Amino acid sequence: MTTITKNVRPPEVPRLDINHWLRNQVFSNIWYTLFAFVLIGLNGLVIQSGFTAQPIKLAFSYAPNGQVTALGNLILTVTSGPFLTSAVIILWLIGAGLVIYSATQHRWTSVSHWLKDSLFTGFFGALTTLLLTIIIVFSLRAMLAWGFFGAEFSSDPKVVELIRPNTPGAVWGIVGANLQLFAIGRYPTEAGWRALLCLVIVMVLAALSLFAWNFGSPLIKFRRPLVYAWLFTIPLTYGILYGLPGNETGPMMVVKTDLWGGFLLTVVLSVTSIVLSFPFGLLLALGRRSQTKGVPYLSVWGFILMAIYWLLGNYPSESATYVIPVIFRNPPTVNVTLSPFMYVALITALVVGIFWLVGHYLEGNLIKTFCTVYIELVRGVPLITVLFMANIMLPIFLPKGVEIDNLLRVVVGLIMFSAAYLAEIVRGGLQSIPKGQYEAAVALGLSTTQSMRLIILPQALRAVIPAMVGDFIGLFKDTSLVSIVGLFDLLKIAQSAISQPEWLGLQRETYVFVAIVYWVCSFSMSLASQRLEKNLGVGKY
Amino acid sequence: MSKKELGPDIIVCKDVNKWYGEYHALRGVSTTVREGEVVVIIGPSGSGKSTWIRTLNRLEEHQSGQIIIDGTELNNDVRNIQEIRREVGMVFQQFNLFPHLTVMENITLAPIHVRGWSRERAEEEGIKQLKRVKIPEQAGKYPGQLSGGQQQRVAIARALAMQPKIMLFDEPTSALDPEMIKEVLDAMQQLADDGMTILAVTHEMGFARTVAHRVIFFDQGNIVEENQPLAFFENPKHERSKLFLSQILHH
Ligand SMILES: Nc1ncnc2c1ncn2[C@@H]1O[C@H](COP(=O)(O)OP(=O)(O)OP(=O)(O)O)[C@@H](O)[C@H]1O
Ligand SMILES: [Mg+2]
Repeated sequence: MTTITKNVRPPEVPRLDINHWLRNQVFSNIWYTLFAFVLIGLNGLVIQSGFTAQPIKLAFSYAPNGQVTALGNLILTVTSGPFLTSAVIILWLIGAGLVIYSATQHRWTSVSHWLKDSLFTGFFGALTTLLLTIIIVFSLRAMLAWGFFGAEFSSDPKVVELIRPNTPGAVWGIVGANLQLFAIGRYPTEAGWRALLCLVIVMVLAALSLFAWNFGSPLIKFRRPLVYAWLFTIPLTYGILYGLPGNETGPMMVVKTDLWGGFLLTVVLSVTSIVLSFPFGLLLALGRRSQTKGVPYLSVWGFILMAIYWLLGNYPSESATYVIPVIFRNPPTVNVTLSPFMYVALITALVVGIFWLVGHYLEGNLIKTFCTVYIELVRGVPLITVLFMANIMLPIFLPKGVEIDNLLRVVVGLIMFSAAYLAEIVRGGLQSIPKGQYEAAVALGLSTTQSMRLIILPQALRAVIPAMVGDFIGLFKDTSLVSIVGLFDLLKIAQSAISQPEWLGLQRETYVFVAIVYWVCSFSMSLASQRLEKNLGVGKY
Repeated sequence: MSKKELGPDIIVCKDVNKWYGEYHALRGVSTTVREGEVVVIIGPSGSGKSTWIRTLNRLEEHQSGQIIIDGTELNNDVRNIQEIRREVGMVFQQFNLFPHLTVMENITLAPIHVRGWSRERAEEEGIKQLKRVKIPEQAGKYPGQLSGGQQQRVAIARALAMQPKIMLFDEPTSALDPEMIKEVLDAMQQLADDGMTILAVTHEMGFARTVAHRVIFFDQGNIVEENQPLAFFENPKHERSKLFLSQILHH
């Protein structure tokens, strides 16, 4: 009998027991009670400062000659401290009332349910909501007051000069008047369309890639061509930006890389280093896991050829005397005279000899050692150091007469730096693939290279997309460091804009603008990566 | 149940030795397997069953002795290894399907990239093999969407699509729930009936009794006893096989 009554018991009578609720929520524990007092105190503070907040100051366009327009009056009223504070409190009371009503009636609408779950989750939740809402509303008010209602938008230096002393907020003119400078730096105006063209090419490629790596996309068969397109885009855009050699003027005039600047330079630097550091990092990661013993012959020949190439540019044209220091000898040097032939022969013998020795007596895994040393070295120094090294050291390793311009050296530095980090990320991905995958692949007859390309890498790379994109975003932002070696990227250009006499001292506007540009780009990359993850993850589990 | 006439020797092992560092895992294994023969390998855990079967397609390297598969010797020559791997299919305990590829892509991958077939031909063969293991309707799914038994049957179809002469099974049913074991064993029996040469490490004694031509008993890195299944199960000659059988049969 008892069991039956239990089963058919009517739903509980809807009742909100205030005592029970208080005991449960506020006085259950001394610390909770203390915290409740703190919260209530804080709320009191912000409400009081809300009611007594100063009215915002309006820009010239809302209050010409001190006469506030109707629109200006409306803005003043709506943004006044008492109005905003009471609006927030009233809305909060309505919300709280709705939740309490629903709780007592046991009837939940989607709105009241959402309110209960997110904003009014209890005594503390409700108080925190009130506190944070007031703080957020007043932060927004301050931002709007500075960036919009109190701001001047004119880009005309003469107008700005007149109204600037009476402008309480931002003077956005510095951005408007310098848009071209921000976009392409000192790149000549008549060739500016080329910069735009390159930007469009990159954007179109990015959009196509996003679609092609979409699960089940009709563009899937274009994935490989797209990879090649990205690689080809780099020399292409460099060519377009550089112009046709021999043209001093006109639309295809030569533009030396030291004139490339602003957002253009930031994009050139980041796209190049992102696209090229990827294959390089991949090779480093594979190399660090390589099982090959000894020295692979291909690389020996590669190094020997490189040495010969270097020699051809560097060998002395006539006999020269070299002073060689010798310790424990008086005088502590010997003079050796070498003919050009002897010089080349000696260096060649040295290179070949080192490789022969290493190949025969060092049974260790040279590839792995090289990759490990490289990665640990590069990761152990700051990017700025790498950039300096690229700037100063790279010329030393090149044959005589070959000069590489500053931009290219910096790009090489960025690639080298990013590749080391990327390699470790990719290696993490490779490590996460179970050994059975590789075994199954080779057991089917696939070669090691095929198993890597078809089985291991696709899974490993997919697993590390978030980390990789994180690295790319970091690299994108790190390109702002190139100003230290004399390049004018977006941030550096912004700094130079501030020092123009007519826009002196407008740091805040400029840096806010630059920050927004960086944020939009980084966030787009982040969104793209989330999309990619979602699209590639389909059906995996 | 008449077992078919057996063909010539297809696997020859002579005094195969393997060490893992100091540990002597295979101690002079010698045996031959004939074409069309079904061999079941049993033995206690750690006795070297997996190690031996994995040396037959060079997933593990042997340090001394000779292994000749279908006339080709397994040595450090990469071409020999590739050639043998093309002719020897393998099915693993953990399936090892490729999770980023569909069932059909799993099956057609090796025929396309190793045998150089066209996609159409590979898919035709793929459907044929999926029908053979009775799951042609799963071709478009991803491995993660299949049950364990279905996954293992896909793994069998994947190995078969390369049209191997020999199939190696390393405990193909050990990771499966009991109700799925039968579907995999049925697929294996079907293969045996079709005349495939099979080497299987398994604890399924029923399968060994009814399908195998020969049972090989491994212990401590070597073959201790080999015989026809009936004779082996009814009348084991060696002390260690007796002990092993009494342990598993009274389980
Ligand atoms: N990669 C390895 N490195 C070192 N020792 C190994 C390795 N693989 C296997 N062994 C050792 O070799 C011996 C044989 O292992 P194997 O996997 O062949 O046994 P098994 O007969 O298949 O056992 P089980 O029935 O448990 O699968 C075991 O003692 C094991 O510890
Ligand atoms: Mg085993």
